Amino acid sequence: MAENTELTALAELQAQLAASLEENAAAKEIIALQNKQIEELDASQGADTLTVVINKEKHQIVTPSFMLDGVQYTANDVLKDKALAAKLVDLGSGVLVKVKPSK
Amino acid sequence: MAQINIQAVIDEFGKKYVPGGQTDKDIKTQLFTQEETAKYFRKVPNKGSVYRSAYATISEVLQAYQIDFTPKAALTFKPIEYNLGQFKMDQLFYPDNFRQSWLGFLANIEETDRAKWPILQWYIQHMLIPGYQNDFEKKVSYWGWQASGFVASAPVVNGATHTREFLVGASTPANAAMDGLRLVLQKLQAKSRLNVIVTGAIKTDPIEFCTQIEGFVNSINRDLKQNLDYLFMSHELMERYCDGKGLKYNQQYKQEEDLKSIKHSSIKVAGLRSMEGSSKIFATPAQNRVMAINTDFTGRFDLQKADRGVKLLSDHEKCLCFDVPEFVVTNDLESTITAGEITAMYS
Repeated sequence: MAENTELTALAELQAQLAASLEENAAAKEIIALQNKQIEELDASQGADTLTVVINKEKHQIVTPSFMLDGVQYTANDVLKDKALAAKLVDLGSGVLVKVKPSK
Repeated sequence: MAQINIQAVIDEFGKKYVPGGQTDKDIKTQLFTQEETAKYFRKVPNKGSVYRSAYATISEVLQAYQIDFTPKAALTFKPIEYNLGQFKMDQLFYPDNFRQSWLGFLANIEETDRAKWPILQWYIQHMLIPGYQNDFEKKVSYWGWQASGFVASAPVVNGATHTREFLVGASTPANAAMDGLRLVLQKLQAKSRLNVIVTGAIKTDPIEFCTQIEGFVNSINRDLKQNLDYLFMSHELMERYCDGKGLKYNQQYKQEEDLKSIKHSSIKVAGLRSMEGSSKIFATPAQNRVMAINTDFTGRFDLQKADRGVKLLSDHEKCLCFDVPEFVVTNDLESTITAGEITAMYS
């Protein structure tokens, strides 16, 4: 009898765990969605302030035009092309300057 | 506040002048850096406090023949102006301070006109002129940031707007006299009038740095490249390039002068003392490097006498600039004045 009770309790706990995990996954999805929204919002604001978000860090584009590997780019190209912006950050380029979050 | 302190000499040698054969040769001076950057700029006399020039370009002019009249080609002018730096030196001097000391040979009590005492000549020749050159090279020619105004209270220093204010009536740092080349480049870059070639962070390995410089030079527009003579950088980077070139091409036996040349070009790297601590490199044709001068510092002062004091005043106006910004090529680093630089140098 006692064994049966224990089994029931275990089943209940498992059910609770499953429910929590489901909730957790749902919450994670929401967080991911919100993060994406924030990033998109930042990128769209960038059109005025010339900032891009790379690796969750905001960078300001301080050089209006420049040449990289023999190709001429403008600040707008960096805004539109995430890969280009990421490459500039990787190179340690001065075209992008990290913006410190205002406190 | 100009200060002349001979207390240590008085403490050591006594408050009296005993002629013992000492002359100005017995006074050794500090080491001064000589002007280096300005020598690469041609002097252009300029009346007024602004130097202006215009750059003309034309689009394609040729076309295929046909009987109809079909005009084409657009002629465009782009103006540029630079404010001349406003320099001055103010000194207040009491030559009598030297009379009762070991340095008494620099005083001349028989001469009633204190402005003619030997101390003034020595001071100007051995301290002020070298001091001026030292300051101009190290603090102004590259790192300068001209004061934008003087206010009664709460001066603003803002790197983004290039506002640099000072309190009225207080002396200012040397680097507030003129925009240095770094700021000139930054301002032109913000106006999109420079050729900026991305090098990324400067390589610390000499061979990699040599390759980086070669890549930079290879990216320069060929018409411009043919007209370039020097690629300017700090002495530290120049030495790194020479080391790198020697190692990369197994040419360590070569003279340093030969190691300064850059592959596939007639350009040589040139080190400037003024660029010490900077990762920037830049090049422009010789005729494009201009030092616009209204009045230069020639070592002549206005001497004003009041009581036993002598005031020395000197004013001059000049700036280092580029006639055509489109002929300047630089790398992508140090595009703005950072908060750290403002704290360290500009406030």
